[in-house]
Amino acid sequence: MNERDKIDKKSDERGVEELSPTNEILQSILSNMGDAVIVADKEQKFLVFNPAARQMFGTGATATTAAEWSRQHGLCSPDKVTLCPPEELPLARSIRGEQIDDVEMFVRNATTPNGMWIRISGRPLRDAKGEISGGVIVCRDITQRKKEETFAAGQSGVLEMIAASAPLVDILTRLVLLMEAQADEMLCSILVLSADGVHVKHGAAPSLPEAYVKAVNGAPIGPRNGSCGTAMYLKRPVVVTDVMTDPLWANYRHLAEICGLRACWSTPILSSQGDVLGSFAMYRQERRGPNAKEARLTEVATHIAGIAIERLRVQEALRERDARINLAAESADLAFWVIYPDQNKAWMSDKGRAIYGFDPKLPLTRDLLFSRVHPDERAAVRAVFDRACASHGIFDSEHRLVLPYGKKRWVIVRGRCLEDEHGNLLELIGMTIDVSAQKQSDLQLQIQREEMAHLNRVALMGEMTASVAHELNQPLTAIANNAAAARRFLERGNIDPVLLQELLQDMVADSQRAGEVIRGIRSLVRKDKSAHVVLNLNAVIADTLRLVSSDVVLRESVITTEMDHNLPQVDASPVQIQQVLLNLIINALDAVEARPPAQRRIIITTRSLEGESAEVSVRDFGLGLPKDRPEKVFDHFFSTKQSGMGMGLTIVRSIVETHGGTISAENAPDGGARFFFRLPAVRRDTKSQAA
Amino acid sequence: MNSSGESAEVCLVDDDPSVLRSMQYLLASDGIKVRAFNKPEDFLAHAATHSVSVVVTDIWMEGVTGLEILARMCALSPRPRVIVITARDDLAARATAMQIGPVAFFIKPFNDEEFLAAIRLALSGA
Repeated sequence: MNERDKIDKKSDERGVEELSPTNEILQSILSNMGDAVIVADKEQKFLVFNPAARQMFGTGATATTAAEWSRQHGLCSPDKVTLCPPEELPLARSIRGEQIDDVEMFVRNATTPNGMWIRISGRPLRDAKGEISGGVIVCRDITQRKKEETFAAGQSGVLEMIAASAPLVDILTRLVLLMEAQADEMLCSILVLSADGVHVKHGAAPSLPEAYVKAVNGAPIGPRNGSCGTAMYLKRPVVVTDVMTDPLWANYRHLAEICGLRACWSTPILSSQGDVLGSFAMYRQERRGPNAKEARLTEVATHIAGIAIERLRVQEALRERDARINLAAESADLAFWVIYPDQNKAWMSDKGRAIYGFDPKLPLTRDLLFSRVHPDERAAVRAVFDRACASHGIFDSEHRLVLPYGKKRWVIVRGRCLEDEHGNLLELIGMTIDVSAQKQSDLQLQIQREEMAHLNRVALMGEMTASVAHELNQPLTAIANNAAAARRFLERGNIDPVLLQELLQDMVADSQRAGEVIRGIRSLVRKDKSAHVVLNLNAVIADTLRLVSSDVVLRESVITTEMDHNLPQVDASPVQIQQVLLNLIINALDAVEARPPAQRRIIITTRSLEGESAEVSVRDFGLGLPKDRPEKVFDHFFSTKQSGMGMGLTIVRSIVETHGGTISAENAPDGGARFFFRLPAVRRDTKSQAA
Repeated sequence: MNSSGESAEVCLVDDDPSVLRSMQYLLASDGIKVRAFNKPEDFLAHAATHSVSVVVTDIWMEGVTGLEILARMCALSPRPRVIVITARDDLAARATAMQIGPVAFFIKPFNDEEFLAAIRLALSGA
């Protein structure tokens, strides 16, 4: 203060006294204005050094020449450290006749220990003759604006880092440093809440002691866990003005004391959905609460940190999802692709290139993709694709691919069209599933199933040997007898030609009958019996009963039928349905064998289930099915018969199910077992066609 | 080769019409008188009022068991001589037939000479 008084006196003596007394108003302005005004003569002696200038430049009024000014007043270039060369000082330049506008400088001296940004404008002073007599400068304190600019630029820098996906720790550190630069002796920290929602992770605290940072990292949140742990737990700001007395700090008091921390104000960082992402804290070495500026800084810091953490979370979630999709895609032999229809360009995932046999770097085109489709199916696939493009709809196709060197694959391809905001077709995205392995095993399974069914039919013939022998032996017997009779009549020489003709006619008829029997057997045991026709189950039952009639007689059993004459027709393979019936009938015959002949009864019933399906039931009066679980008779290798393979009913079920039907077994209430299967009725349009 | 039993009548029982007719022809070719029955009941009805010396019968026919038909034939008085013909060649069939003790047992198709010889033998009362 003494120093400043001296300057005041000197400047009064040297400059202001020389001004004319009529300039009192001017004098008053100079004394009261906020901008510094300095006037110097040609010899660089100060003529005017108003109070604002004294405030800005301190003791500088004692300096004698411009050479001394920079050092004396702490005049630095914008880098804040390099002293401004004397010849570049605005006042010196204006004395030389230059007009200076808006030059920014940094000033740090005894009066402004923290430094001050000023903006200077200068003009040369001229006497009556127009000769330069000195210079005048006006300096304005722009420190606050400069700080705001720096703060804004700092925020932009952090946001740019976020946009550029910089590492979170770098972003948060930069943010904390930015905040710390806005207030003296303030330390800041950011903690991030772990994915478990219970523990905190170190985010950024570049100025806090390392021991403190380490102690906090991994701590749980809770209602009494310091400022940050509590703020995150309660989801609201927690202001602790004195950590040495506040109960929230009971567990951290010692640590805070060692680190010299006294006040800590923490605010939760929230996501856009309002979930807690972390906390931003300000530490002070004095006991107090936040002021308005600090509250505003906290608001900015939590907002930016929220953006940074949330963005990272989203990116992590996306990456995780991508990784999962890729993993799932690869393990499921899934390929992703995009076709840009109007550019003949395509993209495909690595797995897709592997499925289609494309080199990983080969540029793909739509036509190249189509070139992999099996030639027999290419046109059809192309048509489906074109239809999807035309309707902006979906694309769904199952076809074969032919890879280089002839390798073939079965694939299922599904895609959909994407439109831009104007409804124009943008691209077709989709996926390809390699189902070759599945197809292969399906095929093998089908072959196995057919072979099993065939074996079963052959085995059925074995079970019906009595019928087969009987059916063949009857006509053969008649033929043999007729032939023997004819020979005898001829030997006796008195044969009536009419009688001979009758004999021969009978022989022809019986030969045909024998042929029919053989044809019936052959059709039953022939392979590949899956051709479907529209048929009436009542008729198939009648045919089947004819086939087994001899066995029924020989086994001294009786089969009665109760047919529904309004039974709907079904679409089925006659031989396979006959096979189902034969299995059920022979099982029933086996089942009733344990009974005395009079009780060996089997009832076959058909009925319509509201015209939607046809039901056939084969009911016997045998000993019944296993009580615990009648359905287990359909399991593989289940057999109650000593000679049975245990495959019959399994095959029966498989046949019924491939016909879209169901089969069940139950014990009838008054004894014996009841098997019933249902087949769906043919659709009306098919039926009317058939009719 | 007509024997003394030429005047006697042989009854044929078989539910298969063409087999039945062929046996009629065969016996006729040997000059044997025949009465044919398509149903066992018809034969039993006939036998109730007529004396039957020889009957050729299938034993597995619809509506009646083999054992039953044989039992009822053997219950007739006088007891006819029974020749069994069957298309079922197995032990069970043979065992069933043997319980009754027929004079002959033929598996269809059979040799005409042997069959006719058996009929002639039965007609002769041996």
